[in-house]
Amino acid sequence: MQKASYQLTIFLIVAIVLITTMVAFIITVLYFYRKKQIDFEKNLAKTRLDHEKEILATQVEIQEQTFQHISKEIHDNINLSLTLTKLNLHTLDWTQQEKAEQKIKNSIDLLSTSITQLNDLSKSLDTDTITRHSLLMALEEERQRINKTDCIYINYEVLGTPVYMNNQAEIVIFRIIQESLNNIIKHARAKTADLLLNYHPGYLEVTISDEGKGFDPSQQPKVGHAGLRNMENRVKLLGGSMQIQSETGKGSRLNFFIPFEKL
Amino acid sequence: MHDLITGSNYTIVLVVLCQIISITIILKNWRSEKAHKLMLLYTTYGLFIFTLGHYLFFSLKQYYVTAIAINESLNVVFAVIEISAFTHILMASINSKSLRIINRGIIIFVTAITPVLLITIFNEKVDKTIKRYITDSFSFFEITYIGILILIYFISIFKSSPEIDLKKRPTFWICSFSILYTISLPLTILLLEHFRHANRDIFQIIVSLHYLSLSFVYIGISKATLCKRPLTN
Repeated sequence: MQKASYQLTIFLIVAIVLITTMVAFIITVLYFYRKKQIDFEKNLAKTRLDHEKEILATQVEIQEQTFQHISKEIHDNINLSLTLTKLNLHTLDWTQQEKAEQKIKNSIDLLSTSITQLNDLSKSLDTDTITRHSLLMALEEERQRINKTDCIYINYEVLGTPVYMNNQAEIVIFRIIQESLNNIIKHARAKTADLLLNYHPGYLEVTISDEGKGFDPSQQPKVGHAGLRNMENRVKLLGGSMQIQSETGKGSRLNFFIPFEKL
Repeated sequence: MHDLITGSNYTIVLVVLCQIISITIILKNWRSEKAHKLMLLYTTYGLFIFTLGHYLFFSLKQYYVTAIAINESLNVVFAVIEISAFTHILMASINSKSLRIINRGIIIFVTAITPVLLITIFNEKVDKTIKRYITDSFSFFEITYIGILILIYFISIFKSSPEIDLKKRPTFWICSFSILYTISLPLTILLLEHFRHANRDIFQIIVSLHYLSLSFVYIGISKATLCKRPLTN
């Protein structure tokens, strides 16, 4: 009987030691895991804050570029047309009726051009179509607007099943495509350009290509001409990636990929 | 039977109690998932060994060789179910391609060797010491492997991003409560044979501690099931 009691005592002591060790182990693991979890949450909050700051900076940058665009359009086109109109009207000589009529006709033409330019400028700045309809419709309108200018012809194609993303993301994508098309109009001297939106499972692939004069992508952009870098920053902001292929005299091709999961 | 209960310092009763509680909790929180089915099989089979298995062993004691063979074969099958259940749960949490390949190899090896072991156990020409050595080696290998996987699991939870609360993860509770068992069983296998004849008191203490550690495994399974998430989470 005493022997059994002795055996039970030994067993209980060892069992208590083992149970205490096990409980201590579990508590230690939970403690260190919680500590790691707190650090992780802090880092996550910091990353989110940085991301929000980046979004804000990009929004400011987009706004700044838009103002520059408005200023340039007003100065180079509308201002010029209106100045010419003013000059025409100012130099009207009613004694020479035929010349005067011609000048009035010219002035009316110049005013019409100014109105069209103002209209185009307004449309190009308006993101209401994206908000009301979709990115695809806004791009179709942009294509029609550019094609009407007769500077370049844009071929536009959509493959796959379209996925509707949030407005902010669609506006950013629209602006990237718009900037890329503007670059082609301004620098590529191409007669046509292709815009392809391919909706893959999980991501959107956008391809903008032309057969214009091309450029050397390895060259550093000039000050104030950081368009490509800005586009890349915006693509990265949406969690995507961008590729540029170009060679002097052989056109250019810009590809960017936007994953849906991060939107 | 009474000797077995008092000899194990009543830990055998604790094991059976934990098994019944575990089965009840699993059935009450039933999910039609492979992990749940495997854990239910593991617990039910464990209960079978500790109740009917022991009853059968004592009933057939006059046929000593048959009783030993049945006992050994039941333990081998228990080890196979144990390794299947634990590896299924652990491999879902450990994200390692190479380990997955190794694990598949080990499971194939275990499945292939089990019939050979069972045939050897029931072969009357094979000496009982050799039989015990073979089954002990098998159990030793099986539990050491599970122990290594548990260790890898604890390392992996500190390497991955801690998004989910650890207290809500069933695998954590299964692993935490099984640690004692995975350490105690290999030691039990190594020491038991020596103390079986050398010192009966120490022998019984070792057996009791082994049963105690096994009851913790069932407590871990119960706690994991109460997390109300897939057991592989």
